[in-house]
Amino acid sequence: MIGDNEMKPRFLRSLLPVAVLACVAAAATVGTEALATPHDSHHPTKTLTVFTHASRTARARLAAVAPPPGAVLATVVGDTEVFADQNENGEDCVIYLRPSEGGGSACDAAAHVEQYGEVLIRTGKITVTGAMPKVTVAALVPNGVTSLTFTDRSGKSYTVAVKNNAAEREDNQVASVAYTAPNGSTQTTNVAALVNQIRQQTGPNG
Amino acid sequence: MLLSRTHSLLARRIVLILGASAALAGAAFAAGPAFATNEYFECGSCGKVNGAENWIRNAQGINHSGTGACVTMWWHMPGGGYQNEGSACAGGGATATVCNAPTYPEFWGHGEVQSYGEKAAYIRGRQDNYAWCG
Repeated sequence: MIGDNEMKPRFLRSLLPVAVLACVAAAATVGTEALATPHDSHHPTKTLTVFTHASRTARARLAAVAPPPGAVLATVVGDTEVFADQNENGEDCVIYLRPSEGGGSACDAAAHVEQYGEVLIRTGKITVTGAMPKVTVAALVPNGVTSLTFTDRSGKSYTVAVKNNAAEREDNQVASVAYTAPNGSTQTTNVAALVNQIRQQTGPNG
Repeated sequence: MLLSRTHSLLARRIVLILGASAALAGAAFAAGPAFATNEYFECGSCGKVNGAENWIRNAQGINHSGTGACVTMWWHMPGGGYQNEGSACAGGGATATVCNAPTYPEFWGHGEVQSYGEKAAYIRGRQDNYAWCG
């Protein structure tokens, strides 16, 4: 027969696994720490028109990767979706997703992006060191920027139109991307140099 | 009397176990996969830095020194060696993230962050196997 005095310690002992599980659950719910140091974005604004004009109801079509909740679909190019988002660290992000490849993002201080924009270079799988990967460029640019100038490794240039502050283009031969910021400065990204650096990587110890 | 108290104790334990299981499932749903990978790595003065081997789906990196960073996901191939599963680059002060293809949601490998060319940069990285990108 179990007495009342014996039941209390047993009842408390039975709570032990619950306490352990609660600790594990609490550890699992700890959020991710931002890599960036909070700078001038403590009170970010959302002046990019994409945050007010583009569709907030659009959803990614991908099953295995998704943009963060609250991201705004800025433009669709073929099977690629480009999103704009302002993260919890007060940064404006450009996010691109493609079913066959996955995706990528670039995030920078909102004030910086509103003035100068930001460019993401995403390269695909490289099975042999030195091989040319698939190269995709996605950009989030300030209000008023209407196009980006892409220049190939051959020196040929062409323009890519901006929609909802965003632009995206896949071009394995792109050498640089440039546009003019509202203050008149030319923002140029040397894509070829970065892609060459990635192509020559030989692995973690290389 | 013995039977009813034993049943009462058993019932309490069942309720507690069910409650704990529900709490754990809820936490796992909120945070992504249970016991999810979420690892940071950094180097105060170097050209590149690697994360530990783990199940990953995304890798993230930043160069605090100024010139920008490229982040790469390395798949540790079963036969040995590594393969670049994808890279993403962003300018100085910006955080770059690369996410894996839906056909291979997570894989055994690690993330790497490399500066744009500096050999003595302060670079930080993070790798995870969460379901969202960005």
